[in-house]
Amino acid sequence: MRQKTSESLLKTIFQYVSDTIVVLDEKGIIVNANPSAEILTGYSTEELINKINLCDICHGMERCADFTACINCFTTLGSISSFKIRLLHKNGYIVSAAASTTRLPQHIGGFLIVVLRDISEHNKQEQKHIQKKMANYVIQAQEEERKRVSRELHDGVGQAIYSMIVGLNIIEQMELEDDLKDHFQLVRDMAVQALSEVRHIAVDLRPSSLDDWGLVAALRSFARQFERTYGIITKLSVVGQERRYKSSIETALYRICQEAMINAAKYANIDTLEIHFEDQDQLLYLVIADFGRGFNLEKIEVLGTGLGIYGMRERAKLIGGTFEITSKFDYGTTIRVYVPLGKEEETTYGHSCSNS
Amino acid sequence: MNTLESTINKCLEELRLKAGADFSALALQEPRESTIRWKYAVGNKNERFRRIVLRLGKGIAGKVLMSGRPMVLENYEPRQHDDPQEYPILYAEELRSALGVPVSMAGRVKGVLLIGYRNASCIIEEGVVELAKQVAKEMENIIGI
Repeated sequence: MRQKTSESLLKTIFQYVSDTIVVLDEKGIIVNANPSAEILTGYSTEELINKINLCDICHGMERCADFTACINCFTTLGSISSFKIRLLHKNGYIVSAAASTTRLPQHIGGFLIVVLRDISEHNKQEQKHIQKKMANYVIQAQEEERKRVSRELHDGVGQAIYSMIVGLNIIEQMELEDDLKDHFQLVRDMAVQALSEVRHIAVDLRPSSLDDWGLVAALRSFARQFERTYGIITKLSVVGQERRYKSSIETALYRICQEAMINAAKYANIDTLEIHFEDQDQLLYLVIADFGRGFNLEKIEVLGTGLGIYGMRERAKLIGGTFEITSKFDYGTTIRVYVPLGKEEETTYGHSCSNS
Repeated sequence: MNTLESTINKCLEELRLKAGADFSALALQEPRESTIRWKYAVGNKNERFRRIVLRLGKGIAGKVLMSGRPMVLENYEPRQHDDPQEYPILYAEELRSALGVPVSMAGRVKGVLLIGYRNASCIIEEGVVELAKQVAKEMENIIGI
């Protein structure tokens, strides 16, 4: 009775297990397959058993990082504990599977038991994970470089020009002919202008106010500069306590706001723009709204490379936030970003540059 | 409106009509500063141009002022990765083509005269450039410092 139970239990397992179990003879022909094999390969067990050689639907195998050629195909080898295999599904697409094989001893048939598990979904998740990591890497690398160049400009070239100006100022005190003094005045004016230019470039790259004073201060500065650039008046409203956040959060929100505002300047045809930033203790809420032209969200390729919406969304995701955009023709466009602050987030006061 | 402003605007309007343009404006360098602002305009759809402050070398006015040479932009379209500060006047007035010529005073370039078109297919012809240069010379006399 016990043996029968365990036999029927094993049969049940073979029938119902989600892993595919396939038995091959020495030539590689499938001599048995469980129902899961039908799902994995698209062929019924009738089509598989004694009709198909696994090699017919195999599209390559890999162990660790290498691809193995058919010459030393796994069907000719002994047991292999784990590898990946690609099979051609009956419907014409490739299925990726994780596999393991067990070679039965000669005296009980010498068959090869192949257990397969579909990892296509797993692969997709892995790809998404890799893409996210890449996006993160690129965004961080860009910010690091901007920070570095900005500092070099400000501290290096900027300082040098400033020293020149100081040196030229001294000339004013000296006893010299007027036309000589005038000439030096001209040179000094050029140096002052050059310094101003260097400072602007440095701020454009990465505003020091963002590192030194935080998000709100940086947004205020940017809004002032924005008006001088585009002639658009920005209304900035801030609600909640003014405090510092993790550098990655401040940078991401700053860049999203920057991108959103510049898009509005280029495409919305507006005289004013509204920014709202709210610190709701456990949640940060940023809104950029214009009452301008609006656009069709489904056809954003029309206006250049998707208005950088992909980039803004990615930046929001990377700091654990969500990004929403709504737009209606002649009504306006609104961008909303929500960033939850977890308990593990450290809100710091004063200087909080985590990377120097 | 004072007489200087009305004289300049009249001049701009004449130029705009002769050139078949949608917009015409005059930018002047701020005294004692290295910034340029659009001071007078005709055919404008809004007052945004008045708030724009350009640094030398930036924008059409900034570039013309710095180089001392005329500048032509045809069929301009904003692109995502262009330096967005380059042509704010085009965004403000929805211009697709524009011509900027220098206006000199006492031998130094102190202003920029602009003609703009909202139609994308407009090409700036040689005749228009010459016309603008003539008007620029007239401006020098009107403003004459």
